[in-house]
Amino acid sequence: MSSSFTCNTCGLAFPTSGGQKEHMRSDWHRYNLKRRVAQLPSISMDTFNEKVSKMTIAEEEVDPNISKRELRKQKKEEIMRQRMELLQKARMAMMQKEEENNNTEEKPEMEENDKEEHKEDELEEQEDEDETEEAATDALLQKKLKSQIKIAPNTCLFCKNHESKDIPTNLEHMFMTHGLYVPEKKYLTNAAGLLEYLGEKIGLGNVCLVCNYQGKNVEAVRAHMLAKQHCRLPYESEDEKLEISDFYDFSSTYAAPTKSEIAGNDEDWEDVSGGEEGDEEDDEDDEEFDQDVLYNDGVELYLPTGIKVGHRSLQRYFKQDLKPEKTLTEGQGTVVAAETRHLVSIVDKKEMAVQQRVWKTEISNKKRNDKRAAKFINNQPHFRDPLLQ
Amino acid sequence: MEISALPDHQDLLLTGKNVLNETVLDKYRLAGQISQTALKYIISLIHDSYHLGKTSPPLTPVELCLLGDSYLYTALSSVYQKSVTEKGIAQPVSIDVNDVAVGVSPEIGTTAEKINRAFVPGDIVKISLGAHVDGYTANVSHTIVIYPPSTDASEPKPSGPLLGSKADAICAAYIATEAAISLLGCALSPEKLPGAYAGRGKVTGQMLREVVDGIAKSFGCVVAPGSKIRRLRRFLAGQAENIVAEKDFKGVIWSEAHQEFAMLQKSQKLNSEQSALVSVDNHQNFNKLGVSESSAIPTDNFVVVAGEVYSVDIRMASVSRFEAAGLVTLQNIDEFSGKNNSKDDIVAKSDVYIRDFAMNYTLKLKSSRSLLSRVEKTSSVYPFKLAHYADSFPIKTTLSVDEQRSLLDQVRKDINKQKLGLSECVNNHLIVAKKMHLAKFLPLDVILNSSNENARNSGADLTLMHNTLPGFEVPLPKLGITHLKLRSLIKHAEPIDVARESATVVLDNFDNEKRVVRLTGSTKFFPANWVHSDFKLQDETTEALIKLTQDQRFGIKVKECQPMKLTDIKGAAGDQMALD
Repeated sequence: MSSSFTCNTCGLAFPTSGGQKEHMRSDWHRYNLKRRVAQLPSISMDTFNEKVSKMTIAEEEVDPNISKRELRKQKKEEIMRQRMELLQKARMAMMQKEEENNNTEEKPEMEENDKEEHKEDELEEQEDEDETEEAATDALLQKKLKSQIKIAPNTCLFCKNHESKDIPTNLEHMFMTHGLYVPEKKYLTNAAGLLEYLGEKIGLGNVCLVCNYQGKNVEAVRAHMLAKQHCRLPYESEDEKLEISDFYDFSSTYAAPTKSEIAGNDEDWEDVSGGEEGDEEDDEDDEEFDQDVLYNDGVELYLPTGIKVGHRSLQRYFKQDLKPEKTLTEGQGTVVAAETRHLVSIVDKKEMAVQQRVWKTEISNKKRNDKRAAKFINNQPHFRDPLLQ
Repeated sequence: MEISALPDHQDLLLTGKNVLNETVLDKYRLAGQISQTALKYIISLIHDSYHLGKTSPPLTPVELCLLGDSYLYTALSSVYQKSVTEKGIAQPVSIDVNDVAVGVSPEIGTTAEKINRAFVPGDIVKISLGAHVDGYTANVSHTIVIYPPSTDASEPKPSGPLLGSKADAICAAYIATEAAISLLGCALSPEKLPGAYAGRGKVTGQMLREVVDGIAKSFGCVVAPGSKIRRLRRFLAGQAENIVAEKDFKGVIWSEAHQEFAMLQKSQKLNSEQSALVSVDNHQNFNKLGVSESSAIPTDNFVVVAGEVYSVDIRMASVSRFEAAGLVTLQNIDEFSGKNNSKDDIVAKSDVYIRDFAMNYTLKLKSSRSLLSRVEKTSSVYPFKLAHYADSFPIKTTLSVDEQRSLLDQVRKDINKQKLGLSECVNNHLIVAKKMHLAKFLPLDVILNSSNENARNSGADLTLMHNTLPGFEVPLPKLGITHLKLRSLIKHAEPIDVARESATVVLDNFDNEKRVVRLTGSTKFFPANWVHSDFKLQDETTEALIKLTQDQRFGIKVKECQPMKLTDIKGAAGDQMALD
């Protein structure tokens, strides 16, 4: 039986046009159309319904009222919670292990074997299910430790195998070839420590120095840094500065602070990224320090030496070369006070400019008018001698 | 005008600081004493050079001026060192000979030989100078006669008196000054006014003019234009007259217009109405005269008040030798040659300058800027000479003449540095040169032949050029002779010798004292030279006035400032000053 009402996409026939129209409006048909555009075969009504039911379940799980940001936050919190749990478990395991070590020294191998087996099991479990995250992080840590590459302070952070004879030559090499600029080199007291720290960051953590990119391994991170020109030490924000502040000593720049102050400040500087309480304390200390040596009134910076430093935005005012104000002595003041002469008033420049413009337009108008008038002075077609008239 | 004093400051500066008290009197007295000593010092130098023959060649006017300035400078720098910042020379020493009326104080190295010639016997030399401490000013002028060197070299003593018209002028100037001072002193106790003035109860400007004119008449003299009896105020001692039109001017001045008025009165008997018509009063239409207040125009309608300070500055010119009537007038001395006047005329540049504080201009040259700032700092509102800014100034007065001469040569070299800066200041009117004048006698018929009834010139543009006070821009208003006209007629004029005496007096009523403190000039320390005049005082009132100051018991108490001993100043040369 052939019908004139069909849908080629879904392979259906309809007895009436109403049915066809109904079908055309349905989601199933639309979905099939999209598939067809993507050059995929159409699906049957049942498969479609199945898919739809799956999707709705997934959607229902997500609360539509929560924004993406909150969602991300929640996820993060969850991860944090899981991590905490994992740590807890790891600690417990360590405690147990120690106890076991103390109690039964006879069969450590067994234990170890057991543990390894256990671990392997756990790994498998993790691969299978998400429940055993504790084991997963542990494994990750192990993995990292296993694959760790120690970068010595006298080897290049970015080259594969480049060893210099000492740290300064290494730094120079990195500066010349990769452009690694170590800020405030004058106050850098622990270059080896800094390089060790950076080496750990790259070798162990596989993290980029600049952008927190985490590579799978050292090679990946190095490739990333070289490709993106991330071979540098960010030193702009407070956090970035504090990150490597351990290796520096700026105490020589302070205006003769007491010993306790130095110590206190050092501690405070360390604490900056810590808890809120620490932050507050730090702020207070900062203010005290500022009042002693320098303060900033928004326009000028008062240095402890007594020099006032102006802000760059006011440069054009500082630059101007004004005539100093005239102060009269008593004698000059008396003579000026007794003066009754009428003196020629100084010409107001603005007024004068306006006047000059007026004169200029007057002249140009006159010239133009004269020119125009001159055109029609001689309007007789032929010369006529006035004597002959 | 960019700078102006605040109104409340104005009141303090113009009146508050002029109220007499102990410190003010002390400053006045100190300025007076220094001026007196400087005058004594210069007179002794002239005696040494011309009467005793100690110095040869004799000191020229240029050297005398600079030595006098040096003394003033050193003496003033040692007083009130901490409390007073403004003190100094109020008037650089100027030495005018014979027909030079005022203002010749040539700079060292001047090329004008006529004003820097050595004196010859028979010259009358007018020495003028002034000092101020914190603006309290004491000016002095004195006329001395040069006579042939005496045979007895120990003491300067003329062999005989000076005779003739010069003697008349000296007598008239001296007596007029004394009379004016005692009349001013009557303001302290008006009940002592003698003769015709008895019972008037006050001393007015008209009375001062009458007395001085009377004396001039009885000695066959004319009061030369530029003479004045005026009130001094702190920093306003007439040093900037003709540049600054001073508010609340109080004083009697003598000008060509007054001579014209006197002649008109003489020629015809006027009734009171006509007299008012021709009288010298310029107070109508004062705003056409270029001043904002009528009080800047001098008038005789004022009353002398106790507690004021007056300067009496009288210049007399004897006209008795001229048969026809005429006018004593002043001729500018300028540096321009090639004029159609006679060959004997002095061609010289004025070397005394004063800062005009009403003018503002940003100078282009570094040297002129530095000069201007030095002038403003050290000279303030008083006149100065370039020599005052030389490195080797002041010259020590204790040195011998030869040593001083070598130092003077050094000063001459130093001045050249300053000259460059000066010209830009002068061209932009920041600094104005003070005028020098010659006295001339112009016969009246010359004037009448060229008079023009319709000539009326506001003269504001000529004020600076001709050294006139506001209101006196047209020298002969009734005859219609302007300055320009007078200048063209001056070639018909004859030079006339002028004698000058000036003194500064304080009418001290502080603490009910009632005495005249005579800061400068003195009958005791600077008496008139030995001169003989054929004329004598005819007016009894004037005689009585002069006697008033000499009467210790019933007259007016006058306290004179005593000059210091010259032994300290001139070193071993000793006190050679003698009264002749």
